[in-house]
Amino acid sequence: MKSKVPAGKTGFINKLDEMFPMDWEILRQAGAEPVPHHLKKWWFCLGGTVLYLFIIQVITGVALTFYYVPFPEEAYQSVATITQEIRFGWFIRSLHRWASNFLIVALFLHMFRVYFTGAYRHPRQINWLIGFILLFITLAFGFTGYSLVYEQMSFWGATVATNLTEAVPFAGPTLAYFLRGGPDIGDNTLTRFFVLHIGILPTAAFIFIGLHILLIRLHGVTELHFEGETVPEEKRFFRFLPDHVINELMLGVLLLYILTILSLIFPAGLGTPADPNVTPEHIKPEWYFYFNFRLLKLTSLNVSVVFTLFLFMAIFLWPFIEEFLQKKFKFPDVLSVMFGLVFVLIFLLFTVWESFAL
Amino acid sequence: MEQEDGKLNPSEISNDHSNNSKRDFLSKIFITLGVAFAYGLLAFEGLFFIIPKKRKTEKIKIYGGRLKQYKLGTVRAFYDLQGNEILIMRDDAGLRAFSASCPHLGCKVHWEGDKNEFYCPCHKGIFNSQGTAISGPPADAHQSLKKVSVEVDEKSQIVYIEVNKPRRMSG
Amino acid sequence: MTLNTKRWIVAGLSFFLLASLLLVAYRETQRKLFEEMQIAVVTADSRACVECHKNDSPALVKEWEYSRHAKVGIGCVECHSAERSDVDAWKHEGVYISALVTPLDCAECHEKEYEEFENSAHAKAGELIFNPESILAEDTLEAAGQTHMSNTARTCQECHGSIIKFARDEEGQVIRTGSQKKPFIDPETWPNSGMGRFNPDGSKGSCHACHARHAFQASLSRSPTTCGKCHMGPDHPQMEIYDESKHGIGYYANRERMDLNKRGEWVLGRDYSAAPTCSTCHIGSYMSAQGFVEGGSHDVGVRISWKLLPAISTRVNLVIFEDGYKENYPEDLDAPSIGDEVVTTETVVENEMAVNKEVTRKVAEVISWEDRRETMIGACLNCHNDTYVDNFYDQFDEFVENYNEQFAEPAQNIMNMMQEDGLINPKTPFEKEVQWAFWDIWHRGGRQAKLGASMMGPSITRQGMYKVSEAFYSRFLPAVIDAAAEKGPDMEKKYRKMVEEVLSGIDHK
Repeated sequence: MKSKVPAGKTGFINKLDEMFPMDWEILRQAGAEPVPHHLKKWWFCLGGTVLYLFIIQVITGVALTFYYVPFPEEAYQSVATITQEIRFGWFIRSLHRWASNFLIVALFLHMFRVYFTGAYRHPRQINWLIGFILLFITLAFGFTGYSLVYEQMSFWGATVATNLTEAVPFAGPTLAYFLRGGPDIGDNTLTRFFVLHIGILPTAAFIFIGLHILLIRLHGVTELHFEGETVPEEKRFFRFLPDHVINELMLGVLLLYILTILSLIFPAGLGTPADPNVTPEHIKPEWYFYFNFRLLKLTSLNVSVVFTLFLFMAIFLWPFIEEFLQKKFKFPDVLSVMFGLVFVLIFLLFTVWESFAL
Repeated sequence: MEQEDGKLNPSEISNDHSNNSKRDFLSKIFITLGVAFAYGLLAFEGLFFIIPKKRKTEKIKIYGGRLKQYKLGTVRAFYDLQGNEILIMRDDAGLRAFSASCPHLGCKVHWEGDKNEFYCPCHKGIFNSQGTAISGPPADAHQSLKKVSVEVDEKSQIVYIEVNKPRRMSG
Repeated sequence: MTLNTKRWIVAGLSFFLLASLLLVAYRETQRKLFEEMQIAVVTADSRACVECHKNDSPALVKEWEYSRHAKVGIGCVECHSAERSDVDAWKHEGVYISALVTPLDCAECHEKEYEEFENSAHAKAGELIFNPESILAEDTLEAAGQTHMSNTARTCQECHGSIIKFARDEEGQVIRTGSQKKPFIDPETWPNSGMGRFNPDGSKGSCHACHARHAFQASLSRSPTTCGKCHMGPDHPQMEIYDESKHGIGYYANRERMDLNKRGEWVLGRDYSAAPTCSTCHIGSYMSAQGFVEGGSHDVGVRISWKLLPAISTRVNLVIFEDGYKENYPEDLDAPSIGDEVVTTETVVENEMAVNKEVTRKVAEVISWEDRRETMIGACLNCHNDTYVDNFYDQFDEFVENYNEQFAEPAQNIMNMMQEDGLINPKTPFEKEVQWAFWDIWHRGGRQAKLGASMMGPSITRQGMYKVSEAFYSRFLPAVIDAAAEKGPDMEKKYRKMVEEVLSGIDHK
């Protein structure tokens, strides 16, 4: 369909149009996607929140890379310089740190929302898989990012994590070797983590986020029907632009506001620099790994790793598993909800438990 | 209103039931200003972050021995805080200090006592005791050895050399 | 919620965001720059030393790197270099150095402190080695006619200072050992960092007794525990007194907020206020009532008005000679006037032996004990008002005078008389019980009591007076009679009468 150039425009515009023959109407149509009414509820803006926070991470992350030095002898010092000497360095770093925490929280919440609204069910299984991959990428972001600071906890957390990887069946030792860049944590390790954090993981994230959004647009956002609920026809949908956009804008500005306040009151600090010869009394990973850490403490290395892998596979393939269970055993919906609740509760329990433990 | 597939025409769906264009206008102004200023300031602060602060190089005086250690007509070598060599010579006029870096292409010059000149071996540049080039490529370009400020404390007779304070990465 | 309302909400949130970002900008301008990690400056001269010694003695080099010296390029050579002609010099890796760094070396840069120190009581500490008690630690070898100071090396000398001696051959040349021909110092005299050490270059003392090397950290020298290494123990328990006193209590509770490591001047009333340390009252600077910084001298004796350590204490005026030499004149002795020529007796070291030399000097200044006390009071007034201070000094003065009258003077009179009568021999100061008892009265109990009174350590003062009384009544007086009895019944009668006179006096009834 040729673009309709409004009558009366100058030949110059015509010329531009010929140079870049884009059909602008398609764009407008894409932007005018009707959004189901339930998305007026904030609960459903979590996905957008994650995306927004991810963008903040990219921007602050790139800014930090201007000053960060990825070599063990200088890494910690470069972070210290950013925090203490560079103008607004403390602010950009604190934003990056806080946004990473908020991102993971929003991501978990988004996952819960998707699960409990059954939005992973046919035909949206692939999006669930992609989403899970994004979860994995995000956790890898968190892990590598924290290690880059090269404090004691960074170093020893990375040591523990790579040792855990060894216990993965079959691929474990090779994987650990790859992550470390050798038999122990050394010079290679930091460089690798850096490449992962600013190169490989962002690229993968962009690709998968793109696919995720594409699939959402292709499928359309899941319409929810609650039993007994009737929605008047004209209220079934609302405009993406400007209504949904402004909702997202509200959320965005609010988020940035909260992040700034947190950066002012609780700026990112620095622990003691990494010392390969001194193991701190209490090693702890970042809070989003507390579940795994508690599991490790309750069982053994092999048991916890294998069990976690098993758990990941189960969650990953859940749409298919559920479908199978529903077909074969007439699994009622409410049972999926129960499973989900139980898992979430255990996850929360372990996380909180670990946070109180030494 | 309805399109062929039974769906409502999206552009006609509106949740906005008010009809106050004046209020609309005001809110539009404020939202534009608000968002523009807020994000604008953020971008501004981000720019400050990315662009490092220009700092004038600070000087610091370092200890260069005592005057009596400088014999007339000889030259002593020192290193500044960045590892650059400084040559200090003493003659009748007092103490004079030069950077040992040849202004031509940066090779190290050294003092030839018997000839009373600084000699650069790379391209045979020669400087007199005042630091002015008298032969070789530096002389052709009318160059001289960079002067370094040096002073002697009256009371203690200590020689102080003024050098750049080194800075690590800073913003 | 209408679109319009939402716009207002976003506008409102944006302004909140704007406000918070302005706070960020404000915080940024207020932020203090991280004090740049300063690097140690290794000049060309010291580079070779550091390169080698950072493996040989890594902690030492690290300490130096931490010091202020390193930051301005004062390295190894600057302090350790020596002239070829110095007796303690040898050629080490191409440079003539000496392991001995004396106050004269430090004076290259710290001339004012050197002059103040060299004429102070601290520098004279080495002369006290020739007091009677050190005899208890000596092991005399009469045949060789030499005195081995080995027992004093680890005791008296460590605080008071040794006479640095070198091992010499038959011709008197210094013995040198090893490929570098290092001079062999007599191990009984070195290592030593005593306050009044007699150095081969003629200077006295050692700066690093208080300014421990190689970091020369200010907080160390300002800390009372530095003084406490020597100023403690039964014969001069200043450390214990300070610990007991409120001043000490205040220090230990508050030292974190006293900025002990402050670079440069450290002034009471400006840089710290929680409590005085030893250096506050005796050396350091304080804010005067007029708002100026006053005080601050390495002569620890300038502010002293009482000489508390002798058996009978007197207040002392200070006579300063033209060459800087200082002497304390007891108040009952007429001080010379300015311009007078006085023959002073000074202990110097010649040929590695301590000798008393008579040097004629001209008087340049006389400072009365009242003026000396005023300088000390300047520090007190930072926290206490004049009535408080004046009354304290009244109490203190009276205490010392009482002690003098009640115990010290009577005992000293008796001792003098006994010496005249040949009952005791000054050359054998610990031969008889009466001599031990007298020693305990003034050297142990008396000093403890007087010092305790001077620095407000009431329990220690009381204990000191107990020692005085106990020694006086139950040991000294009977021992006087015993000693007299040894010489015969006439002597015994004479001294018995003397003792009874003392005991019937108004102080003792």
